[in-house]
Order: sequence, then C-alpha cells, then structure tokens
Amino acid sequence: MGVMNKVPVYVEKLPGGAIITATLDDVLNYARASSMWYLLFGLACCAVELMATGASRYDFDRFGMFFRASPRQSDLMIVAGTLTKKMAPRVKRLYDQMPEPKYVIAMGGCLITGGPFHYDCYSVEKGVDHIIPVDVYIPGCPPRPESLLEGCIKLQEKIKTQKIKDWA
Amino acid sequence: MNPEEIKRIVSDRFPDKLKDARIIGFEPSFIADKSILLEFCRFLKETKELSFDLLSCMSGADYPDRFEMIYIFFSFTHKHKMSFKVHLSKENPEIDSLTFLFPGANWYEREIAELYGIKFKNHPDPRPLLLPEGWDEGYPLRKDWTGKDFIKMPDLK
Amino acid sequence: MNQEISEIYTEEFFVNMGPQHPSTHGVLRLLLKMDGEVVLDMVPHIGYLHRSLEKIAENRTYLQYIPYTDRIDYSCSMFCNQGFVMTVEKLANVPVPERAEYIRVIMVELNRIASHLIWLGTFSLDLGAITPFLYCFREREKVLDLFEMTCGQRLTYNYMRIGGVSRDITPEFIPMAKEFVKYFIPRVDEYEDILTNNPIFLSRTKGVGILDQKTAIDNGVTGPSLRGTGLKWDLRKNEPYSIYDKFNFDIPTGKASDVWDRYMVRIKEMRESAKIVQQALEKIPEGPIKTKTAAVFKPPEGEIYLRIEAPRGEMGFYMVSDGSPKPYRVKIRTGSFSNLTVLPIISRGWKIADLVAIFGSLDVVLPEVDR
Repeated sequence: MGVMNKVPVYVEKLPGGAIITATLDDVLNYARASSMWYLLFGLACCAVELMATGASRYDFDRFGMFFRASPRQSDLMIVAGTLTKKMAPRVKRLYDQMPEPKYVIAMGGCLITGGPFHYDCYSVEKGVDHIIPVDVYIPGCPPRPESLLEGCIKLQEKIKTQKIKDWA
Repeated sequence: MNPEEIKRIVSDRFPDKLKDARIIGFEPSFIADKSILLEFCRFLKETKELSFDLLSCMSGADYPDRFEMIYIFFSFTHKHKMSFKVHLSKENPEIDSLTFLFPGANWYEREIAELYGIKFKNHPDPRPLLLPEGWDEGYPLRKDWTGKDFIKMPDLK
Repeated sequence: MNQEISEIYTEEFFVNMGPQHPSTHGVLRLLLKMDGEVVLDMVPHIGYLHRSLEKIAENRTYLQYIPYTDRIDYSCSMFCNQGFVMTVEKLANVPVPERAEYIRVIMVELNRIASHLIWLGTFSLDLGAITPFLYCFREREKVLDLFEMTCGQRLTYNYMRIGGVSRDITPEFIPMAKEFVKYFIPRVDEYEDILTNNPIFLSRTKGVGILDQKTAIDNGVTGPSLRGTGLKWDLRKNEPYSIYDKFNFDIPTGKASDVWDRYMVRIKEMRESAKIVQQALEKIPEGPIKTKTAAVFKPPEGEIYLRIEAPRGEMGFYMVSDGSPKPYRVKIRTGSFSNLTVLPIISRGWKIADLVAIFGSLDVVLPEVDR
C-alpha cells in the first residue's frame, strides 16, 4: 500500500472490484519513471562501475532498468567515461536516434568539465553538454555505484514533475 | 650472451657507423646512423648468434636540436636485449620504415608520424591512427605546439 | 530450378561494427568486408579514447602523474602504478623496503584476479552465457572490498608512491585476505563446471582463431595470448623483478593456440595468482612502508626502459629525465596495442559470431590501445 500513498489518487470501492482515479500526468510519469531502459554506452573507466552497478551487489533490475544494445529501443542514455573529439559526432548521432521522450545522465567528472583531462589535453571534449542536453550530472572519478543509484532516483523524481502539455 | 659480446659482434660488422648511448635496463645501446637502418635491423634479426625477433617498443622524442627515434629489441631464443637510437634533423625528419622486417612496427610508425610529423619511407599504409579525421592543427607531441582548445596547467606558486 | 539458383547474383559488402557495440568492450570500430556471413577482411579504426596521456606527462611532476597512470588501464590500475613507480625508482636508485614490496605483490596479484574476472564475465556474456557474468562480479566485489579498506577507492587506486606505498594495510586486512583466497579457489572450479566442458562452448571455441607462434612474435604479441601458443615466457619467472623470485608458482601454457587455449591459460593464471597471494600473506615482515624521498623529487639525467608483466601483456615505460621535477618524455608501451594488430590476421575466413569469440579471447581494453 506504500505505492498508493505516493500517487495522489482517490480510491473508491465498488462492488466487484476497485477503481482508481488519477490524473493522466501521474499515470504516465509513474509508468515512465519505473521502467527506464538504458543504452549500454560505456566509454572508459566509469563503464566498469556501470557494469558493477548492474551486477549482483547493487542491482539495477530492481528499479526496472536494464540495458538495451540499440538506441532505438531505449529511453535513457547513461554516458559513462571520457568524451573525445573523435567520438563526439557519434554520440550526437546516437542521441538523435533515440525516440522521444529521452533522458541523459552524465556520469563521471570527465563529462562535466573534462575532469583530470581539462589541462594539457588536445583531444578531449571538455564536457558532454557541448553536444547533447543533460538531465542529471553525477560527479566522481569514478562515482561509486551508490552515487549512480542516487542519480537515477533523482531522475525519477524529475520525471514525476513533468506535464503532458510540455510534450504536446 | 652478455652485453659485451653483442657489442663486439655488432661493432665488428658496422665499424664506423655506431656510437655508444646509454639506456638503463636495455644494454648494449647505440646511436646508429640513419642510412644503415634497414641493413642493421636485418643483421640483428637474421644473424644466428643474435636473432632479435621481438620489437619490444619504438618511440620518438623531441629535443631542441633534433628528433630521435628509439628502437628496443629482445630475443626469445637467446634471452638477451639491446636498444638503439637514430638522430633525425628538425627540418626534414625522414627515415625508412621497418614494417617489412617487423610487422609489429606498422602501428607504432603510424602513431609517430601523426604525432611528431616524422615521415616513414615505403610504409604500406600511412593513414592517421589516433587523431580525429580532418585534424589540421599540426603535430601535437612537439614541444612548441599549441592549439585552439589547448589549456596549459598554470603553475601554482 | 537449378538454372534459377545459378543465376542469383551475390556481392561483397561492407559492415561497420561501430564504436558503440556491446561486444567490442569499449569504443573500437571494425570495418568488415563480408561475403554473406563470412568475414573476408577487416580494418580496425582506433583513437576514440585518445586522451593524450603522454603530452600530459610533460607538464606534471612525478607524484602528480601517478593518478594518470591509473587511467591507462582501469581494470588493472595497480600494475600501471607499479610499472611507473618502479621505472622512476630504478632511474633514481631509490631503495624500497621489504614490507612495501610484499604489500605491492599482494595488491598486484589480487588486481590480476580482478582483471581476469572482468574478462571472464564479459567473454562469457558475449558468447551468450549470462550466469558467469553475475558470479564473476560477485567475487570481484570481495576483492574491491579489500582494496577499499586499504586505499579508499574501488577502481583507480593511486596507491603506490616512489619508494613504497602510501598507506599501511590495516590489521583486519590479513585475515580477510586469507579468507578470500580460501573462498576463491573452489569458485574457479565452479566457473569451469559451467564453461570448460560445455558442448556449446567447445564448439564455439575449439579450433577457432588459431594464432601461430611466428605471427605472434613478429607482431609483438605478449602475455596470455602468447602463452596460449605454447611459448613458456613470463617476465615474473624469466626476468624476475620486485620479489617474485621468492614465490613458488607455475606458468600455464596452451598447445593448439585457439580460443579455448587462451581461455584455459587465464583460468589457470587466476589459481596461480591466488597461490602467490597465499604465500605472500604468510611471509610478510614488519617494517617501514616507504623510503623518505626529497619533497621536490628530481631524478638524475638519463633514460630508462622497464617492463612488467601486466594481465594483458607486457607493459613498458620509456622515460627520459632532464634533471627537473617533471619528466621530459614518457612513452607507455601496452600489451593490448600490439595484441590488436593480430586481429585482422586471425579472423579471416570466420563468421561474425566467431569474430566475437576471437576478439573476446584476445582481451583487449581500449584505453590501453589509445592511451
């Protein structure tokens, strides 16, 4: 019954079953947030922590998230690792191939402002928000799995505040 | 074979084209003239007493008055090692390619060519390896290079 | 009917196994020329993770560069740390106390086990077996607990210093490590139960991707891929560095140099590493953990090349010093760079599904290739 407390609903009991009334916003947001399928997109060191978060000890599956290999079947892109100038057009292309609504989590210091590769580095793109719009930034080098899980929960909270009239 | 014997055999064969260098860990080490490069490497690989068959590492370096190429060899049959360097001029750095003798040198030479600007003659596949396509900002590993996105770390004093 | 089939027109085509692919273990682009399902030729394109570590080295002091060596190969950071630090120590003639050497060997061999566990998990995931992936990461979490207890980090440790290590091991480390080794050795038997004699695994890996010894040596292949061809060569036994001559361990080799042999070599290496850790935990002495060095560390002028046995091959550091606190030139020679050059040669004539198995068995990690 904890689930019912979080969704602002009015529960009415009718003979033969229960009917819930809620706003369409809440139902759609709840459905989207509870089942995010993420694109397997590990570039460098943070990818190993992403794999470890999906493995046995810190499980991603209990949040409803599991990996897809193709961008056309996913709605979340967790970019993990350093972004170089050679790879940047490919990231933009993958982002364009994802269907709406889509979200991006930038995991790791390298994607925020270049991380340890900000100075003296000729081939690193210093921040992934030069290329694609980002929803959640997770700092760390690499961030612990608990940080990544908190980032996902924050993204879920962000999704639950969206409204349909912004999309249409 | 110990380093003195290797040095003796090599100096007997090429008496006046080799000088001594000093690289710790991979002795004997020489400075060779770039005109004898291919002949020298073929001698190292095919002589029975030497038979250096593994090209362990190959690198370039940028000094104020010259470029340097360094080659490091190892032998599995006799378990001995050696290394040598070649000096190149700054205006026209050109050298023969070792790909036909040691196929492992292929990618090392491509990387040095795009990062230092050293040209390798008769290389089978001289395409850039690591830098983005359409890179036109020069040769990054040279000491006097700057680019438009290159931020040097400030000294904290 | 026969006449219709002989008039069917076929042609070769090009397929891009692109930078984003679940089986390429990182950002590698393979351009394949195919005839149906068979790979005729292949060109690897690299450079999507080139982070210019060699240019960064020219503007950092020796102590400031140690965290960057972690990022050369993130699955075996302790090896990269050890290689760099040993090179500087040999150039500057800095002695290392014995307790520090023992701690280094324990950390490094535990890291070899963790690196081979990542390899085994992703290799079996590529071939379709999802269970070993979860088992391997469960074991790896125990190793990471030990590392976290000592240096505070799970992946990129920054643990070794010039002249020793940065922190001593806590009193709880030794009993926990002994218990881990006792728990781990039967687990390797569990992985072998699932995979080694499985008929699907055998038909996908036996006789596939044969690499002969001459091609391997010509192209500079080292490490378990070279040991799979039958050559018994390991830098820890044949040119002992650090204190490896005090331990008793074996060097596994393969016979047929196919994918199955390279897999067996790494499985046996995990057991040998556990044996080394066990012996080191018995014999570790008391004492200091770091020699005192100058606050602004300046090695004498000179050049040096030193190599160590990393899980993926030989890792070598060529360093030129001009007497200042920052190195003049650092060149990093990694095993995966040379191992990847062999991939087009051994995968001609095989199908795409075999290509995935061959590439997995070479154990290539892209930051080592691109630096």
